[in-house]
Order: sequence, then C-alpha cells, then structure tokens
Amino acid sequence: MAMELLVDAVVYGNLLSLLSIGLSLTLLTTRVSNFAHGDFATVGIYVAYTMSVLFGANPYLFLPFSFVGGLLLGFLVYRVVFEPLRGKASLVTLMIVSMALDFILRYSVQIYADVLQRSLGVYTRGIVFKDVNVNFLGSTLPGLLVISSAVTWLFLLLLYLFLYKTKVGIAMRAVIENPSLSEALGINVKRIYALSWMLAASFAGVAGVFLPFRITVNPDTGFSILLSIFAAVTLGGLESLLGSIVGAYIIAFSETVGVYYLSQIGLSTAYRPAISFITLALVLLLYPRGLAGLWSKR
Amino acid sequence: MFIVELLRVESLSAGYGNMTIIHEVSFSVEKGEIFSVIGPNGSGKSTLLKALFGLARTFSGHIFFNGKEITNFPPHKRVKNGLGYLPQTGNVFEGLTVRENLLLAGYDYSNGELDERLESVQEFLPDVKRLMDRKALTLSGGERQMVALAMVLLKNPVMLMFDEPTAALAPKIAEEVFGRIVKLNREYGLTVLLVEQNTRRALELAERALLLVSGSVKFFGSADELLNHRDLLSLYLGL
Repeated sequence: MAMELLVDAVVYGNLLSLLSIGLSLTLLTTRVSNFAHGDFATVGIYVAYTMSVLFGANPYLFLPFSFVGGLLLGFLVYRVVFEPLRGKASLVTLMIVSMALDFILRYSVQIYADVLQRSLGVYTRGIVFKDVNVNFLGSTLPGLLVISSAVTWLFLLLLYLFLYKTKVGIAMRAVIENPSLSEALGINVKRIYALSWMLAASFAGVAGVFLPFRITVNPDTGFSILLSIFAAVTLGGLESLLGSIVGAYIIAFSETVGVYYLSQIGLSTAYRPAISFITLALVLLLYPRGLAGLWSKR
Repeated sequence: MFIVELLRVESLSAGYGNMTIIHEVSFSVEKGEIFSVIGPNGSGKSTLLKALFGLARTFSGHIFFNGKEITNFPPHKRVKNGLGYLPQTGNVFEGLTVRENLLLAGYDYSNGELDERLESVQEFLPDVKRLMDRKALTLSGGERQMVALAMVLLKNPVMLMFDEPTAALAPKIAEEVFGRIVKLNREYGLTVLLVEQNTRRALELAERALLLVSGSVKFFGSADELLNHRDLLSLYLGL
C-alpha cells in the first residue's frame, strides 16, 4: 500500500510541477494570476484524446500534439486577451479577466466534447486512459510513473537550460526582474511575454495528457485541480520557479497521503482540497515568504 | 561651424496614467554637445527623460531624433535609432551576473558583433572585465554605475541620456563618473543629455542647458548664461 501511495504521489507531483511552473511563469512575467491555467491542461487532454480516437493509438504518442496545441493556445490567449491589457489593467482586473477566460475555455471544451461525441460517437466525458506497464531496470513499473517522471524532469531540465544558457532565456529572467530596463536595452518585452504564455500553456497541455491515466476526466477537470496548482505556487513563494516545483511535490504528497488516511478513518475524500490548504497554512506559518524564502537572499 | 540638431522636442506634455507631469516642453539638443537638464526635486526631470525614451506616457507634442519622428516608437525602437538611456536606479539586473547583463545589452547582436563591441567598451571601461562573473546584486554603487554604463554603450548610442548618474555615490566616485561622461563626449563624440542634482557641476560640464520647474521650461539656452543667472538659480535652486 505504501508503495502504491508513493507512486501515486510522485505521479501527481510530476503533473502538479508541470502545471505550477507554468502558472508561476505567467505570474512572474505578466503578473496575471491565471484562473484559466487549469483549462490549458484540459485542452491538452482533449487534443490527446481526439488524436487517440482518430488514430487508435496510445495517447502517450500524442504528447507532442498537446505540447504544440498548448504553444498555440498560449500565444493566442496572450495576444488576444492579455497583450491589449498590458499597462492598462490593474492586477485585480487581470485576475478577473482570467476568470472570464476560464469560463470561455471551459465551456468551449464542453461544446467541443459534444461535437466530438456526436460526430465520432465516442464518450467524451468520464474519460480514462488505459496505462501500460514498463520494464525499468529489471522491475515492472506503471508506465505513467516512468513516462510522467521522465517527461517532467526532461521538461524541467530543458526549461533550466533555456533560462540559464540561452540568450532568450536570460532575457526572460531579465524581463521578470525589470521590464522597463529590458525595454531600455532593446529587448522586445512583448515577445518574451508571449513566449512565457506559450511555455506555460504547453507544459500544462503535456500535464493534461497524463491526467486521464490517473483520474477520470471531464471538460472541467482543469478547473477542479486549479486550487492545488495555486496552493503549490503559493507554497513555493509565489515568485519562484524552483519554489513552485518543490511546492508541487509537497502538495502532491500531502494530498495523496492525507486522502488515504481520511478514507482509513471513514471520512470523505471530498476534503482533499482542505489538505492542500492546511499544508499551505502550516508552511506559511513557518516560512511567511514561502519556500523560496529559504534560499532567496532578497 | 556646421550645427546638426540631433534631438528636437516640440510642445511635449507627458506623465503617468492621467497625470500630466511635464507641460508643453520644447527644446533641442545639438549633435556632439553635453546638454544638462536641471531643476528642483520633483520638477519632472526624470519624467522628461522617460518620456523621451518612451517609458512615460506622451499626451501631446512631438519628439524628433536623428532625423525621424520617434514620438510613438516603443523604447526598443528608439534604442535601434541610436538613443541610449541610463536610469538612476534599477539600471542593472541584480539577479544576473555582469556577463549576463552585458549579454542582454547586446541582445540583438551576433556573437561576433557582441565580442567586438564588448572589446571596445572594455577599452573605455577596463574594470568591467574583472567583474564579469559577479552577480550584479553584490556590486558597489560605483561598480554598478560602471556596468550600467557599459551595458548602454554596448548598444552604440548616438546620444546617451543620464538620469542623475552620481546619485548616492561618494564624491570621489561621482567625480570619476563626471570624468567618464566628459571623456565619452570629447573622445568618442557621444552626445550627452544629463539630468543631474549637482547643478553647478552639470552646468560647468554642459554647453547648453534647460531649467525645468514644475514641469515647465523656465530657461533654455547657454549653460554659462544660466550659471551666471543668479536670480534664476537662487529662486529655483537656492544657489
């Protein structure tokens, strides 16, 4: 049982890392607390699901499509919604706009699910992907554990290399720290912002492909995990990418283990979100600046 | 002597949000000169520079630079047109190393071009070389000012706008900064627009000057003339 819990927690931590790092990124660059971030994952789910229905192949194969779908969606959302508001809207307005965007995306996916159901005659709600086992170093492990871990850590490594070893990545760190100085140096801040949204949505899209392997998904699945994503990012210190990764694993472990013990004492697992927030409150009581406060000198 | 007008500002009103800070300001800067903008605290000197650079909101008026109207250009386009700006604070990226700061300053250069520019900037500021691997957060005020200057110079500007470059620096370091500004102007032919709290020093360095009070122009002309205009200096600057 302990092993199953550990595997589930690691998988959930992987998904939450991919999701929370994207939320952090758009928060850091454009100061948007994006309530539509979970919907990016939902779009990823339905891209992979549609492709697997059309081609009859394992949804893992369509990870790149969900990634590219996320890139396009992130670009569109930034250019159409947030770029026109840049410098004109307050942080609260931006947050409310993202809530409206959440509704638009969520109900667009609902409509898409209906169309898909009618045109292809397949179930488009309550979707579950069947996992495969993988032989790894002589042991048989759930494919979701191996593949989600490999993909998540590859993406995190690539993101690190991008931010620290490439000119555009260094420019993104600069824009996060001081957008007006970046503009003064001739960096096209608008492009960097668009790129951050593209990365955020594509990471979420990839996380979306893994979700139906773990839970039953619907067009509102992304929204339902939004609280946990926000909890992870806040736990990490709100403005730290590394913090949001560590925060994601802590929330994932506490939720997974907490839900297990709730069920053991006969309480409803509907209390799952409360576990995230109790963990968050405890950590913030100890470290008011979040986990990033432990290593940030500023 | 043949005089070339590099910057012309016509009836510029600018500020932030809906608040106008500078009102109907007009002046011009000639190629190759040091031009000082002086005025009491809160007179709108920094806002004027920000408006010229596209970081403050322009409500009306026109800005012409290097033969083009740049009134509606975003900052990065003004940089491409040869305008450089060294802000008073937040002029380096504290979270990045000096090397990364310089790399960003040469963002749109190829590697070869960047190395070439870096070499020529290091000729002027040789001390930058020893700071390369330090995080900007750990630099002293003088070192930070030097790195910030190196970053702006990498862009190869035609005119460089300094916003209080000696603020919070020790007198000795401040003199070094003034020395560098003069050297840039005299030896490298860079046009300088200087906003400076040290009024007397700013007027001694400049050929021409602008006195800004409450966002409006009270004097525009020869720096020597302003330096000898006891009434204006005592009325507005307490000198």
